[in-house]
Amino acid sequence: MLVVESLSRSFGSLKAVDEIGFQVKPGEIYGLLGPNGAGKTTTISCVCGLLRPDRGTIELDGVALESDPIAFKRRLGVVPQETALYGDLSARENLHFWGGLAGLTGGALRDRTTAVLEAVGLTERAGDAVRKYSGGMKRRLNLAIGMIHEPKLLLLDEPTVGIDIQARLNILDVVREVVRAGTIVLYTTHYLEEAQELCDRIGIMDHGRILAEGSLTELKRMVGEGEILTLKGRFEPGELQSIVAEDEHVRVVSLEEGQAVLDVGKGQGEVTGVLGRILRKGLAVDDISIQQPNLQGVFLKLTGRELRD
Amino acid sequence: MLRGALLLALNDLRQTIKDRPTLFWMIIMPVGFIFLFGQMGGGSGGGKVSLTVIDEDQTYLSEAFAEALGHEGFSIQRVGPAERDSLGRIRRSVTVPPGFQDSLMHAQSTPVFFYVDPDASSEASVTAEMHIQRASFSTLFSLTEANPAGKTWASPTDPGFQQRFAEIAARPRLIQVASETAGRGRPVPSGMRQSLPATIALFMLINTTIYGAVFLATEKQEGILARIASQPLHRVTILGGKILGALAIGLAQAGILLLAGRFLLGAYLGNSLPGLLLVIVCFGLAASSMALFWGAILRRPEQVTATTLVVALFLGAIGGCWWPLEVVPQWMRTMGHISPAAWAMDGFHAIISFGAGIGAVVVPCLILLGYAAVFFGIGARLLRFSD
Repeated sequence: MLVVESLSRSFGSLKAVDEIGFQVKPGEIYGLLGPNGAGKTTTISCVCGLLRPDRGTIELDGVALESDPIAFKRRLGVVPQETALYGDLSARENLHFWGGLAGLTGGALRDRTTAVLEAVGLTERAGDAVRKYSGGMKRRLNLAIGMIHEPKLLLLDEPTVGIDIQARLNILDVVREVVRAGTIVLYTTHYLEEAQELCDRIGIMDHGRILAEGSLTELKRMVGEGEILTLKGRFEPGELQSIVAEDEHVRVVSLEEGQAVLDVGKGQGEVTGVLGRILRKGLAVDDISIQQPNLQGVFLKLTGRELRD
Repeated sequence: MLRGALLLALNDLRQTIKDRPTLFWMIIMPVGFIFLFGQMGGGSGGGKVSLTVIDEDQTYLSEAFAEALGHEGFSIQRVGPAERDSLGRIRRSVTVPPGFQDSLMHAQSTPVFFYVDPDASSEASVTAEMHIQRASFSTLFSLTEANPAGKTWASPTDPGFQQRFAEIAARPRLIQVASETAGRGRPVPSGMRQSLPATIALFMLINTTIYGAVFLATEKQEGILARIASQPLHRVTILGGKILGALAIGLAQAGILLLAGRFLLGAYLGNSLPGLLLVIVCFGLAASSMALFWGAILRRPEQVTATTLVVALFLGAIGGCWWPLEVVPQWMRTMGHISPAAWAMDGFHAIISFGAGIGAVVVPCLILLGYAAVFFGIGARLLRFSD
């Protein structure tokens, strides 16, 4: 079990991670979802021992990172956001090097190298220099290195950034396979679909804090099942506010000049009715979008912003 | 702990070997430097000076004169006039003209002609001229003694005369000059005695600092160092591994040049190989720690390459790698010793040029270890594993 409690880390006056806590069980994928700068990578850096937290504790199976970092790291596999590989070495040489650092030797190292190469589909190109690989192949090797020593906890920091769909699917399949063997996976991403598809539980992060946490179903329930209506145009906040103020089915999530996000309560034709009233009042609206209750809608409701803003 | 450090070090060495320009930077260029600068300064300096004797007289006394030259320490090649043209370019030659023996037997003056190629080392040629004079005196004394005053001059073709002449020539000289330097001898190192240690010091400094620091900066930039830091390794293991890696590169560089210098170019290495190796290891540690320092304070690999190359060339220059510190004014010699290369050169010269043993390198080695400790301390404190 991974237990993170009251974790905080600042860089000068910037609170990158602010009193966050979560737990992940063996065989579970916990997703940290948030836009760039939300604090996901800082959290991962603290968990892998690269950054010392200002406050808080991190424990894996009862081993505290702070008191016994070597024992903690022996149980840890890291797949960083960068493809941290040696380009002049082959995939096999890279795996031997990283596996060796993780403590594997002799036959065990050779067997695990063969197994992870097979798992990520790189066996046939194992002898080629990594610099000749495509982006997707490098990402797959990056993942293979993280899991060569069969860690108890696998940290995946945006492991599918910038690769084609086929490579992404392969990586997600491998992660599912790893989890089936009982590994704890901590996964950061800003791809909503990926989080929805893969994660058992999700923590939504913004400005260093976890705003909400739970399974996809729990998160949706937490923020209600209404639809999200986003309006863009040439209107003043006050104009819209006066129209929707008395409507009990509408909650204003965010409102600024030329843009509004409204949470419209569940009900047949509710959104159409609200939209009709706004347009009849002559508000200059140029763009309308209606968001069904999914993770994007959850994020929008919690933060008033698109995930990729 | 040691295993982790060794894995890191071997990985750096393996990457250096896989890097294509390594062949040029670590082998072709420095070996070329040793040869080129060694030749400019007079060659290997350890062998005999060559001298061609063109014997146009072909008599017993002309042959005896050539033998006397051989006893002076020359590497003699004696040829007849017919073979002269087939020899091509000759560095130094002595021509014994026809009638040499007859003139001597009739107590008449006879010249011998000493020819020096303009490209030959002038220092060696001046010494050669002095030895030719000594061989002339030696031949004349033997001839005089073989024909005591008041007796009829014997013919050089007479076996009795030849036997007596040979016995006199082989006899130890009655007066022998024993010379030694008063105090500590400091001849100016030249030829390969300068170019070999200078090239070892310069290229160890360049390649150890550049490769070591570039690896660190690249690994930091690409997230590899952060990944290494997330492995079950202590910080000191990682730092030790990086130092060992850079040291291995430096030792490989020194090994290549020592072997090439000794066996390919015939350079003289002095009488204390352990002393020489001790200087190399201590200098390697100083250079490796400098690599850690540069890798810690510079961010981008391009910055590292440019900075470390300029600094290494500067430290090499003031440290006596381009010219011996023995030829510069005292203040420059003193200032030059801010460079670790100067201490390495002091150690190398003590053994190669001044004939000292391992005891003479203790002080330079201790100072080099001091440099290593200072740069390691600062580098280890400043190095961040991620940007």
